[in-house]
Amino acid sequence: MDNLIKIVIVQSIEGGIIMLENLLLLDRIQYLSTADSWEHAIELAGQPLIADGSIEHKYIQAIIEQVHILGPYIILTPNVALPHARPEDGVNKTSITLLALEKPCLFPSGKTVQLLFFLAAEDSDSHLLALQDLAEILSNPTNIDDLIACTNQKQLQDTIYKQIGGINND
Amino acid sequence: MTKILVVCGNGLGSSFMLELNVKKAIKELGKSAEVSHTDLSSAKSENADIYLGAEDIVSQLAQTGKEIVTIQNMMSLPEIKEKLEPLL
Repeated sequence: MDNLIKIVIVQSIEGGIIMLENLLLLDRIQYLSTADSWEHAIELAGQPLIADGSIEHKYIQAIIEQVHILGPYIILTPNVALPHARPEDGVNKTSITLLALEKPCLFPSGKTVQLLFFLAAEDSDSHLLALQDLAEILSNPTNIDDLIACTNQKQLQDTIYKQIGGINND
Repeated sequence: MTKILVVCGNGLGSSFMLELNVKKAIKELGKSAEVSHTDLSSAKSENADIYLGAEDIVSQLAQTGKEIVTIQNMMSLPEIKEKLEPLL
């Protein structure tokens, strides 16, 4: 955790500290019934960031291309993916979106996904605190079940905010 | 001290989250190790005792003869502990 503490100090000074709750605003959360393919799901998850200029469209293409080459390494845990590529692939502003699908989407290797946390990082550290909170949330399978059980945007946001609030940062 | 390198496709998303869980797992096991994360291409030239990551990624390090640990569920502390314990 030492490195993280250093990052927190540096970012506090620079004012660049970004927490998960500041990233997952309502317009970054989507609830949809289905996606045509895993590529389509990644495309949909990135749409809010294309709309506000946080990423270039080539960033989405870079993610899809990497999964084609390297396999579905973006699947963190059953049902949950973290689509992401590199800052230089077309990120303008560090952001995260959440796309929840009512029907699971099939990824390569036969893995299925219902929750996509789409990550765009503008550098190598501004997103780390948000990811730390996300790791904490996703290491508890009940939290994943609770998010999958949500049936609208607002419910998803309330649920994840509650989960962020319950994190014990010791 | 044992050096563990957590590897992902581009070294800034999933590998960081997995690194946090690996550190937590080692702490819960009461062991100690040096843990860091990187991307696949850097991992090929970086020295470590154990290379750990998702199967799709670390399988590409197999031919280099390195000690490899494959993680199916990157958010599962029980799986990480079970796979690392015999090596620490």
